[in-house]
Amino acid sequence: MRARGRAVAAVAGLLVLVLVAIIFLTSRPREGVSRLEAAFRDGLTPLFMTASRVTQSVAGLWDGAVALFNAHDENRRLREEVDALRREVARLEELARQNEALRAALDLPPEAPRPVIFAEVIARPLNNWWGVLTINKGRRHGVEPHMGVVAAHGAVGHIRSASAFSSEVILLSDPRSAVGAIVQRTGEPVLVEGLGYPGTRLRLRPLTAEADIVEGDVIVTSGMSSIFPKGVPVGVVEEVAVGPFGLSVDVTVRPYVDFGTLEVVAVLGAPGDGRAASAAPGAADGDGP
Amino acid sequence: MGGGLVVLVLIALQMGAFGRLRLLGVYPEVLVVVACCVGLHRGPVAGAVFGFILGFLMDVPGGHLVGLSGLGYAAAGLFAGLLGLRAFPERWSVTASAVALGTVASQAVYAAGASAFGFSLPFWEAGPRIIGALLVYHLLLTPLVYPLTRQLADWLMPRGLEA
Repeated sequence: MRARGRAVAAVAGLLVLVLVAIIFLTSRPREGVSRLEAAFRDGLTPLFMTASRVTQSVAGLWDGAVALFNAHDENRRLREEVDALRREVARLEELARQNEALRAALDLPPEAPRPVIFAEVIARPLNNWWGVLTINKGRRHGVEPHMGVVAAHGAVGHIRSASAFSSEVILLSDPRSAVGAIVQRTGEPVLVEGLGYPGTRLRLRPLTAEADIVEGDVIVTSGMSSIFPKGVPVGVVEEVAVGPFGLSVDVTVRPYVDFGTLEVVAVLGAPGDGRAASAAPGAADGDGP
Repeated sequence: MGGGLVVLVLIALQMGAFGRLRLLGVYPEVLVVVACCVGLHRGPVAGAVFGFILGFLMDVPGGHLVGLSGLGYAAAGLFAGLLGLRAFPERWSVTASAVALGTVASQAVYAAGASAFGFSLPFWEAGPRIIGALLVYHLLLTPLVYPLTRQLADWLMPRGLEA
């Protein structure tokens, strides 16, 4: 009886050691995931997609029913917004034309277009401490780690790991995320970090002591890394709190993207990468394992 | 075979479906509720083992701190099961207390474990808000999950696992 107890204790101790080793090994920064993890994730992808689409449909029915009550006001507001956006597009087209002409005059090379891979969000964080998403596109579709991910309103995050048919996206709100950005008004360099809990706010760290940042400033990506091109909207400064004696500044940014309601995202391929061909959302929905 | 399939479906539901249903800014961790209910129905050992399996497999697709959720969920199942041994688990107040205890235990174990491995999560700043919202969410889900888990436990768990 005592021998059996010892054997059970020995096995339990060994299992604890193995578990600690696994947690330790997976806590280190890694390039990609192991074959076992990738196979498990790819195997679950169809289940994720099914569960996600059923929930989406049910939520869509509910949202549709609610929207019917406000359809008239919503229609008028959207028409006004479309008019405003048409004027904005015309203005931006003119600016783009001027920009191209100036680049040509200065003999600067034209900016290489980035291929875009549209993907569907199929799974959400496994707990509330991390900001991650799983998307239904992987290496087979040209997705690679460290590619930037954007949505219609702005930057979303970057690819942490990619398996054959799915990838994991680290959101800007994740505590492991830090993105180089600039204040659009002044061009000052800043770092945007995730706070690590749901609240959809980001922390902004100025990189210069005399940074001029005020509430309402728009933050865009700096384009200094290969993850994002320059000028992708990140968010707007919501609060600037100066510490005691003016020695520190605590800046909070409200991101343009609501990470909790994302359905479709676009993965930005490397400039000139032919593998990451553009595809409409859901175009490769049948490509799963 | 059937047990494995149920576990995979539960994980897919957690990440694919419940991951879209935010309430008070948080996503529910419905598998914590499942682990607590298994602990109540079948004892602390069964709750801890089932919770560990669910949590461990949940971590695998993410590939980050794999096994830590397993420890958190095992703690939830264990504490809920221990409470169930000392009180009548069919009473709503006991079930609710067990789920609440399990929710707090799972979050505390996860945050402490992450901190031990070099990730200092803002537990004191964000913990009360996350745990508070999770408690509300989990207590709303408990009346649905509890009876379903009883049937699941009867089907999956061999009686030998009971404490």
